[in-house]
Amino acid sequence: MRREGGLLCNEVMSRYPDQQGMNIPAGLKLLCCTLLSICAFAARPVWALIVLSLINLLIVLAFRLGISFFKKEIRVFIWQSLIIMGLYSLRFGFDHGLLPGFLTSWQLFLAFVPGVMFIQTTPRSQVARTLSRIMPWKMAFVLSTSMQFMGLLLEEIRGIYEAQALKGGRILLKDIWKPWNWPDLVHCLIVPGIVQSMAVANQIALAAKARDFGKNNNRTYWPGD
Amino acid sequence: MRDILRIENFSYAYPGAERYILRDVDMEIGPGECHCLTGPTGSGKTTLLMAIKGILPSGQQQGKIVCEGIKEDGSPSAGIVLQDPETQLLGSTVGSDVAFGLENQCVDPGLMTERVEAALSAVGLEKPLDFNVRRLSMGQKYRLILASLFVMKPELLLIDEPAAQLDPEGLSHLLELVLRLKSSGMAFIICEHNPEPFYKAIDTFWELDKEGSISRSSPRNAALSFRVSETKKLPEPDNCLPLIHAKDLLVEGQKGYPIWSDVSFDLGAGRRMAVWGPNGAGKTTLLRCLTGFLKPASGTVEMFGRRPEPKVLRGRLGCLFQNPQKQIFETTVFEEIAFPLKRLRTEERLLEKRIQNVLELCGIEDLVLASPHKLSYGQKHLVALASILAPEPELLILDDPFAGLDTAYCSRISELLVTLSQEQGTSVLWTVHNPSQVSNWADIILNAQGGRITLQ
Repeated sequence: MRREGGLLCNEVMSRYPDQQGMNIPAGLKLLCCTLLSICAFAARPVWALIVLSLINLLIVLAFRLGISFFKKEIRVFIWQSLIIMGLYSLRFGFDHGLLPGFLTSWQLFLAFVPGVMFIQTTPRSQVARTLSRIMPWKMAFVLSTSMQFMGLLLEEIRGIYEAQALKGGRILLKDIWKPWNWPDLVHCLIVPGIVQSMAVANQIALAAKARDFGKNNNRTYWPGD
Repeated sequence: MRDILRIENFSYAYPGAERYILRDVDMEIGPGECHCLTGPTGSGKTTLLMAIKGILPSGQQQGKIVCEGIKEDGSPSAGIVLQDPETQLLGSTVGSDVAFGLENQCVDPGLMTERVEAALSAVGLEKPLDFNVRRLSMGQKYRLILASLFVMKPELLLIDEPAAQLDPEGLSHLLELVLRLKSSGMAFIICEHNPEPFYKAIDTFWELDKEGSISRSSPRNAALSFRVSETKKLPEPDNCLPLIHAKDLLVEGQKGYPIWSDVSFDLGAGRRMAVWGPNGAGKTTLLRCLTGFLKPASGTVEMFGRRPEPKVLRGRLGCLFQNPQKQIFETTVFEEIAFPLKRLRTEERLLEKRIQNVLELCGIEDLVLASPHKLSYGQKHLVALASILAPEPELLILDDPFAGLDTAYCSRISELLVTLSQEQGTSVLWTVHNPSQVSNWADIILNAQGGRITLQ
């Protein structure tokens, strides 16, 4: 099936597979997501966190992000809460650390989720175009491209993690609870992960350069997204 | 007839490098010609393509590259497809990805849609402009990259090692496309260790040697896809416990769609099993499932008689995932190979003996003190393999171990695996996307296609 030329922007957006349901300009979406994240830092009382959570939940449903999005984010929240509550308990004692730790984790989660939703529901070219209104276009490209390739990078790091864990690196979840295994985490995962990130960034830069990125002092934008 | 490209006495060394990677390269290409560039891993084939495209970092350079189709901004009228398609998809939808080059050339947005559609049609990619690029198959991604270059109206297309990424079907589609575009006057340079799938399109063969010098070659001299001579296949084992036992496995993707189902097989001691299938068939997913990193939705998988867990597999299983170079992190080859042995608390004397043995086995004794990061692609591959062989595992699992390697390294690795299985009784399971790489030396072949993994 081939689309006819001269499509309206809205028509295309509504068919973008990751953006069904809502049809908001990227600039407005970015503004809303930024405000929601800022609100998360300001919302300390439990009722405010509940209200903010409900707003986020409604947005997730409106964007039809699906059950897999929920599952993934809830998993992140659980892990993050366990770590933060553990650290707070170590610092302030079990009685005084548990609840504040949980609230801090909740806040951080609510600050992080709007950004994830924005990335998942906005085509990269739209992100670049929106960001180019508030920052130099080269920087906007770098930022939007970094968001797009985050998934690829995480895949690469996962590959390194699995290979190193099988080779004997003490980096399995059971291992990293023990601080004496942290050097392995740095040595076998973080350092190769950084090296690989730089390699991926280099390849992306090369691919962009090969398609004339940076040849002119400005650029136009694809009207389809 | 005018040449599209003329290279005269071109030499190049990367910034900070003492050695010239390319030396006195002379080459010329006319319109509608297809040239194939072969040569061992690390001989400078990709560097030459990047030099033609004009995207090399500014190192030491001599000679000149003359492209007749120079654009208004002075850049050569050549498009380049680099090795990894994933990092070249710069848009999130088909339309925006193809339009990326036009955006950079400041083409009026009103003219973009027509040009993008024409480019997609030229490469035969029938997808809506708003189709998400992540949902394309590897072959379709390759076509998309070609369309994104074609839209910029190049006269010359440079393609770097397509066989490392594409399965036979993808390669045959690419050949069809090259033949079609060639007849319309576009010229091609294809870098390939295994040019066999492109014989019909190739007019001239060139070979780069290890010193970076180029010479005309012929199809006979060009590297053929490697074949391992037929090896003795082992008889079916008697009722001994299989190392891998998989029964009725079902693995689902992120959104609950089955990747494959009803997978059952056993792998006994000393046996060689190949899993082949097209890109995206779920071969890597199978390996992740067998090594305990991915839980099947249903069915059972056992390794060494128990549920696979990475911690208990250490020492008994050696696993080499795709592009093993990125797993290298130590400062010397010795330390890299010693790492798994140290983690298994191997005695110092035994450790040195094992390292010596594995260095000899892999033929890299002379590299023992070298930094693994400074080695060639093929050498790094061997170091990564040596590192997983050092603990003398009973089972080896290798994910596409020949991708990106030249014929010499492929033969070396395959012979090494045959030796290990025949002399030391090591079981080997490996995946490939090219069926010609498995037939002669596998005892068992599994075919991964269409959501099923079946015995061939």
